[in-house]
Amino acid sequence: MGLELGQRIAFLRTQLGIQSQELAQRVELSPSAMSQIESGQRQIKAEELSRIASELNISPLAILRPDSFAAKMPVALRTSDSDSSEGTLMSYIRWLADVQEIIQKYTSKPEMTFQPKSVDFEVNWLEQSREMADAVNDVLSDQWRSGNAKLSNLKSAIEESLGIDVLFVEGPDNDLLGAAVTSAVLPLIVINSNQSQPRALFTLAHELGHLLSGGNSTLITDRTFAGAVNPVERFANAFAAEFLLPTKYVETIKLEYSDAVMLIAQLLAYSGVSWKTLVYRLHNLGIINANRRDQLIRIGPASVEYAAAQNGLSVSLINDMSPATPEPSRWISGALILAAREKEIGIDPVSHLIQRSDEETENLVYGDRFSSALSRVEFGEVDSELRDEAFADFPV
Amino acid sequence: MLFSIHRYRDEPRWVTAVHQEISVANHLQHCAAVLSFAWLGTPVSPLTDKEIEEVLNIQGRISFPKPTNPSKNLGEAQSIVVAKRLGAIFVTDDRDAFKVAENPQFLGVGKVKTACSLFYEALADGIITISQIKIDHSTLAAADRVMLCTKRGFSCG
Repeated sequence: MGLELGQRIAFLRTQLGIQSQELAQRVELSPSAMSQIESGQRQIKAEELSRIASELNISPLAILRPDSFAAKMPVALRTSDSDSSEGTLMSYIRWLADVQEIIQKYTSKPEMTFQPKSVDFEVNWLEQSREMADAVNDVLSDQWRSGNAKLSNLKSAIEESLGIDVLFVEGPDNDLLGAAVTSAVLPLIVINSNQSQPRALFTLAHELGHLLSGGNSTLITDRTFAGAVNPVERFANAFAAEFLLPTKYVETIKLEYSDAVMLIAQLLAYSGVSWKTLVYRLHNLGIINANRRDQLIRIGPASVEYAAAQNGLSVSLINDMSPATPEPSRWISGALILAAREKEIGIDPVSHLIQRSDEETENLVYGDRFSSALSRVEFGEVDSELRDEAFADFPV
Repeated sequence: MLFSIHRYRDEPRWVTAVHQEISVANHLQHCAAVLSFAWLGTPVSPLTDKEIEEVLNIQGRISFPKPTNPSKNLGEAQSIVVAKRLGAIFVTDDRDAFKVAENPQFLGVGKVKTACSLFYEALADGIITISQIKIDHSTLAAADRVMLCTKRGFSCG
């Protein structure tokens, strides 16, 4: 086993193009110690493996368990066409992959109602993306589109109706925009909340397209959607556009509104997308030509709004551009709260995942009827009713 | 006091990750003192890949991983695994390590103690008085060390 573990470290190091001596220096080991570890001549210590894994952007458990779900994550990341640097979103995904078995043990998540389909990304991809978007729209219905909280509504709809967890995490500017864990073992979409709501809405729809079209990867990550030439990305973009602004709906509404400004206002209100996304969509549907598209992009929604007001038409053409809000995922969070209650996992990681304070997390895990005066024995005698009550409150 | 408590009990054990953590802060008076305790013996390590796997599994259950601090809670995780191997009792004031260690798949209830419980054992042994226990609590609080007995769901003794 020692040799195998060392070989795996050497393999991962080579994949990242790191020399053995360089890795040794980074983890404060002598070059000979590193060489002995890689050749299986020296037993590695837990703290050494922990530091090595951190340098290799991988969970140490993934190195130790090459057949585990967690081990599939980083390999998929490195073989995608995106930058593979570690970020906040990836740290969540890695940790969730590590505790995936605990999640499965405690989850009450229903099976995915919409099974991912095998898509040929090269042939008839546009047609396939439309069919998939129509099918998903049929399952989700239009309820999430009502009101201003479309992003949050869509998140809930995907979780409740499709059985897919969605996690909004605040990452830095240079972090991923979003990621999709496409495996049925842990169907999950992670969105960087540090982007405007219309953009986050598109990211969410894009990642949903990735997740439902499966593919061979366990994980797909996105830093940008601009100029996607990769067929998988092109498909996800087409899916997102069709899902948010279905062709059928645009065609129907076009007949209802003779005034272009009112038509645009209606489509923006219906979809929650940004001005730019809408204008490109109208062009792609053949409703406006390239000149008009560029003209509209250049002048922006404020100018159109102003011109409309001059003609006595008061409409809002700018969707709320404030950043999205970090939000915990529905099913995974529920499972981990129960797992913490059963002492399978600590409060600290759950608190990170649900993005609540330590005290709030304790309340969710143990219920807030407890005071510090209670003994540990009393603490352990909480009935399942109270646990269910705590669980039912989540997320609020 | 720790030495006195252990004088009539099984030999105490500590692990390499804890030793390393204290060694890093060797310039601090209290850390240097701990490192000089010969009665603590040689730090123990997990021995096999399987034990290391369990250590890292427990570490991930206790704390959310921080790329800047990959060794966070590694000492607690190592201690649980070593205590399991030796059939020993794990002493900690880390709430999450305490809870996870109490899970029967690791150590189980009764195999985990808080530092405060050691004070009360010392009291029962006649080594210290209740007023000394109060002073020790105050000293630790003044040093910004949170004792588990002050946390919700725990109590002194």
